[in-house]
Amino acid sequence: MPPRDKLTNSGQERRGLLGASPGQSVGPGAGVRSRVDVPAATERAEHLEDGAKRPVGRRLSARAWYVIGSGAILPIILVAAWQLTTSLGIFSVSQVPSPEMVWLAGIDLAKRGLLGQYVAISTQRVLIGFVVGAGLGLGFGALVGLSRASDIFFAPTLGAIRAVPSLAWVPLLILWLKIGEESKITLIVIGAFFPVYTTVATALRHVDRQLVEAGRAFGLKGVKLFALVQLPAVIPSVVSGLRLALAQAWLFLVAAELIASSMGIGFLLIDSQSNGRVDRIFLAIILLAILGKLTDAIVGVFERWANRKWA
Amino acid sequence: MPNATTTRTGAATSLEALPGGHVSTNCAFAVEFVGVGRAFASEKKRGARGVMYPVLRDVSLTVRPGEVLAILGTSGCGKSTLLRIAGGLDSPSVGSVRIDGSPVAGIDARCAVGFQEPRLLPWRTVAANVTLGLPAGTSRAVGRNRVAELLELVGLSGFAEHRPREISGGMAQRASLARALARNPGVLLLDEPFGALDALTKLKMQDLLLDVHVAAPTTILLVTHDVDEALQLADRIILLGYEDGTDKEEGTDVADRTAVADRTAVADRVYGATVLQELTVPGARPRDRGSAELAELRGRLLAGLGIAAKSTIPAFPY
Ligand SMILES: Nc1ncnc2c1ncn2[C@@H]1O[C@H](COP(=O)(O)OP(=O)(O)O)[C@@H](O)[C@H]1O
Ligand SMILES: [Mg+2]
Repeated sequence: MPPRDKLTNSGQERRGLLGASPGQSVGPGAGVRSRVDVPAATERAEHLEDGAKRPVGRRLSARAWYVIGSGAILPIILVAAWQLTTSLGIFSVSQVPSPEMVWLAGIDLAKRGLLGQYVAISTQRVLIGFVVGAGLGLGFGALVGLSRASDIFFAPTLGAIRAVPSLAWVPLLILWLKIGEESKITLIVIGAFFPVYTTVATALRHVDRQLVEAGRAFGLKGVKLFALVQLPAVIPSVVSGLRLALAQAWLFLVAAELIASSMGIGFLLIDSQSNGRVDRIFLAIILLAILGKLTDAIVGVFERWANRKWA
Repeated sequence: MPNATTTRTGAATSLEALPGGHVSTNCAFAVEFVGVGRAFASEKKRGARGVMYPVLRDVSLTVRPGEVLAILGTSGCGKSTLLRIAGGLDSPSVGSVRIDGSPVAGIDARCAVGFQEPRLLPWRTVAANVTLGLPAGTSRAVGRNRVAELLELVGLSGFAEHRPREISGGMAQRASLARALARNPGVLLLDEPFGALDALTKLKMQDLLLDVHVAAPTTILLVTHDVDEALQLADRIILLGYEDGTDKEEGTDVADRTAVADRTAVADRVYGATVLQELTVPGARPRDRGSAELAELRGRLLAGLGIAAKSTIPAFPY
């Protein structure tokens, strides 16, 4: 039901405007006009029109069970096809192991306590690297996006660092930080930093000038202007930057673990390659797919919420 | 033309109408433009010595406290620019603006601006957007009441919790007006506030603005391109435009330039717009929209706008 319009004709109701406190009376007859109901009527029409555009019932594609069910069809088909090709013997098991072999390899690793450990350590690296990298990206992105001086000062250097392919850092990181956690997390930090930095800086540069000016006209400046106008305006871009950063974090994790590690999913990959354990390679790839998709889905939920609230 | 050196005009005006009114917070200020000119750097020719394009020149004007001044002019003649200068959103290239005797430097807390576009923050509700206009230091409870009052006034009570994208353009423009009113400004700067409204809502909102002004007579600078709106609302109207014959005064070769381009177009770009006419609207508000006296003024103003565009007096089909 459209809310009732309250454009009032009463001079009484209009007193107290512009700071005069209620209870003061306006001169007799002040503000008595005709044509009271005109805006009310047009508004109701406007609102109805607006409401008519939205479908009343929820569409099928908006229902959770439908979305999850439909999304699961293709993976099920793929697994079935995989099972079929292996049981028909189209590929040798040393090239493509059967789903059962991969499953058993997983059970075997789990029993030895390695599966949980590998998954945990890899996830931990990704999360720490992601949080630190995204935080730094947010900070530098804000600095470069808001201040012309910092833009001129930082942007060329950061752009050049960004141009360095990720793997080029590995020898240096190992030399400096040894094969400890620091070297791997640093690489992931680098990976997570740039998507956030770039999207935040770009988005801040393109915040609607008119909105910023309106904010300033109503007395906002500095931190308050940033918190009330600029930041909310870029939140949708920031969140999509975070999503990209998370994907990058997984990418850089595998790069780091492939090259120098004794634990983790990347280590499982490289170790299985040297042992010829193709079932474990499959397992590692599937684990990466599931973990990556899972963390991305979590950020995706956050993104939808942010877009509803801020866009 | 009113001179720049007008003495400091009192702040506390005409709140006698409201017994016990908060004179300290609720006042109207004089606005003085002293030889204001504004030129923008041309974007095309960045080389050489940076060509400047004057938009306004030599605007001198005093607006009395509590006065409603309408600023008329053709599109692009610098009306918004003049208003922005008054509010400290832009600064003049030459000259200065004083509000209540003290010069405007940077954004001025004594002014509130109703922009030509609604400029509402899309992630805030209508009510939260109006709240943004409240003066700093307003308590939460007082602020809430005030916002509710203002929304009621502009007829948006039922839409307080809507987002700007969920309301129509005209409603957004009214929310924007409420936000400016929330400031309780000494000077209210309105840039074509009713331009986007449908004809009937527009009439209603014009009356509403008059009511607001009666209840709390702030100084209002109202930019408009609507002659009737100016006649209905203003105590005084100024017409911004390009002076004829500025070419000759400057002693430059007119013939050469007219050969290249339309004469007024050249004059526009070289000299900028200034106050062409200034007239006091007779009669107390609300005025009869059909009166003969206003019709005569309307004709003069329309002719003025026409000259600015074409150098001849066209017949207006009004
Ligand atoms: N920030 C700016 N930079 C360059 N030119 C501007 C700027 N603001 C306004 N102008 C120019 O000044 C002229 C007057 O603009 P404006 O004051 O908006 O006109 P009006 O409100 O009367 O339609 C226009 O030609 C516009 O291009
Ligand atoms: Mg304008």
